[in-house]
Amino acid sequence: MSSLIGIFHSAREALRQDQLALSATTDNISNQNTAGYAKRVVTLTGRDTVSLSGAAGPQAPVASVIAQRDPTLDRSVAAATASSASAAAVLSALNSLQNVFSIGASGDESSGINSALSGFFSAMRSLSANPTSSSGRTTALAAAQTVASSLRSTTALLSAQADTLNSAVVDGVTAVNAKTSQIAALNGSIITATNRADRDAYIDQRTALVEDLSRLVGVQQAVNSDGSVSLFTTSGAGLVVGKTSHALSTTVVNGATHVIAEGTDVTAGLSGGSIGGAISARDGALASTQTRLDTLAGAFANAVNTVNQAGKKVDGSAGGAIFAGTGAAGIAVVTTSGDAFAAAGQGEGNGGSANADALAALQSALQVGGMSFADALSAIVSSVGTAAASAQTAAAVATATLTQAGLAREAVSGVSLDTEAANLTQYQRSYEAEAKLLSVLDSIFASAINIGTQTAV
Amino acid sequence: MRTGATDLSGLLAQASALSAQQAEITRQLSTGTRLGTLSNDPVAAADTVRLSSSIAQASATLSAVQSAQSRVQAADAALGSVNDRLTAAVAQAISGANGTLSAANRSALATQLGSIRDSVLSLANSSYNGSYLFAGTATGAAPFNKDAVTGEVAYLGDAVASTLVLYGAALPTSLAGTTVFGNGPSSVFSALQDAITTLNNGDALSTAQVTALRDGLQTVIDQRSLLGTSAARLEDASTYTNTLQTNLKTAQTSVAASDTAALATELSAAATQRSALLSSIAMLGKGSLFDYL
Repeated sequence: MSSLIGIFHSAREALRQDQLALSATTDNISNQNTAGYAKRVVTLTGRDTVSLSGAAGPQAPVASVIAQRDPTLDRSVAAATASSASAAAVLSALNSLQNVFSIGASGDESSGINSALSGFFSAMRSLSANPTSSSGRTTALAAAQTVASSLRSTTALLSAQADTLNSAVVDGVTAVNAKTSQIAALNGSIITATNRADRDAYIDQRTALVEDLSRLVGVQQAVNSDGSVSLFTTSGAGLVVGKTSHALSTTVVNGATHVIAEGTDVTAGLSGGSIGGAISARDGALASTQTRLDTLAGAFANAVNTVNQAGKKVDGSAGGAIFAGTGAAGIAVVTTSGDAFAAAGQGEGNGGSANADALAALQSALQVGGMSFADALSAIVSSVGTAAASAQTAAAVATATLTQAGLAREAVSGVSLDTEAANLTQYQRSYEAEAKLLSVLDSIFASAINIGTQTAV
Repeated sequence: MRTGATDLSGLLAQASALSAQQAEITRQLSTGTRLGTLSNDPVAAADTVRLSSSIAQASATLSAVQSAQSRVQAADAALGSVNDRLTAAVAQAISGANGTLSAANRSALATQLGSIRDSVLSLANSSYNGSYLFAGTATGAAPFNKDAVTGEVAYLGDAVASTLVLYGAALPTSLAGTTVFGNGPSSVFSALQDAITTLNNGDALSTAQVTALRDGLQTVIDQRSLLGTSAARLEDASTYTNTLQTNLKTAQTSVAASDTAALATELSAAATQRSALLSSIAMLGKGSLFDYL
């Protein structure tokens, strides 16, 4: 037999547990859209009975509020976020790159290099048909200048794109440092947290921050026994170790921004996130396109100069170099007169055209690694297009993976308004029942107190 | 369990992908080419670059051929006139070989031969577009110069024929003056001068002198037919290049062009899909259990 007081205490305890459950439900509903929040689940476990003087009293259950999360799913979402952000950054960079060479309705590619090269060789052709025409020579000079300027301006476009990516890396590193110091502070709070509710709240915030960080750079997570999480880059450089964060810095190497972690250059090892994507696009497709343009420019200048130097100019003297400068950035026409083109061959008079024929024949010559100039340019165009196409596929796959990972985590940790509504009703009814019980107990108490007395209380 | 938030973000991502697809299709329809974005067909883009270059090359070749053809035609016309003059000269020389001509007749013949010689000289110094046709590759100056005192004609050009290289073969586009008219004492000018001197001396022309003039005429005829061969080869090259250019342009159009009918179908399919998706999104947003409690 249990005492009335015992029942009273039990009912009061039950009311308190119901309040706890109601507040957990309120938390869930108000944090439904908060990033990193894991739904709070109320578990009611039966208490061990305690006997006092041989009588066992009714026991209200113990309510504990647990944040329902699966660290594995959290990590997979972070990883998918990093891949998705990286793929998006690469796609955006490659779309800008392929715009430089886009083909218009008339078949001209927009960098102008193809039509400039064709224009130059056409001018050489008409020079071979009319070696002494002064208008032909003016045209030839203009055509040479067009080739040089189209190569230079395309290089300028690519450099500008590289600069944009460099800025993205610098901005990204600043943001990473802000996030890692916040995460380190949260780690500290988690280690010293005294109660479960505080701890869970800090873990919610930290999960959201780690996801934000993953959007910037891909990280590997290691859970420590004290509850803190250490974060490393994919190549193993430490970003957050326990309560300490290690800041990244940037430096410029050969015009490209490199990332330094604890004194070591980690640029090549960074992958994932917008920083990883920017570095991958810059040092990959963008750099290789520039290299191939440089090779094309160098081979062209060399070929033209060599043939020109083998011929005779109108005044009978030997031809000189037409182009000078290194790479596609520096190629320039060194002559100011169309007379610099040596149209006559050795053994011909000053009106000969054999060397001009040779200059025109360079259009089909295999001067760039076994390819003609047009073939080399078309190889650049197709590789840029192919890279952009792969980037599109990769971005689509990464987005799908992220969605799936997000769904899997939502299934465990997400707040469903329907569930919360049902729980709310359940706890509300339970509370009403307990409250009713208390008021019944109250009147029973009054009766008990009034037993055997004449006057009513 | 599935919650509204994730479904919504997934569907919104799909809706924006469909919007992007619609924008791309519209762009292809308006520009008429799908290669504005290289990634749509990188191989076709590469082909277009090569084709553009080949088309420009064919066009330049055509211009060069036309230019050479004009030059060859001018040379042929000049040689035609030379042919006529020298034919007349041979006829005159034959009558000049008659021993019974009077001094006055011989004098008249000499004058006619003189005017033929001047005429042929002027034709030998023909130029086209500012460059001399029979100077070999020294086309900047008149190739034949008559000495005012001795009347001898000297050749100042060179012996190299101008050529145009077409599809790997060198086509002569001009003739060296010495090949057509001979040089120094063996030139047709010398033969004419020789005959004029003989006639002015009151003598009849010898058989050798008439033969010399005949040989000169024959050389001109032979060289003119060589030029005719060049003209024919140039015409062939022109026809071939024209056909080549047409084929290349057709190829480029088919490589780069967008298929309007297919695109229009894709566009309407994408639009339908997107509006269906947007309706689903709208329905998802409607309500939870809270509305019913």
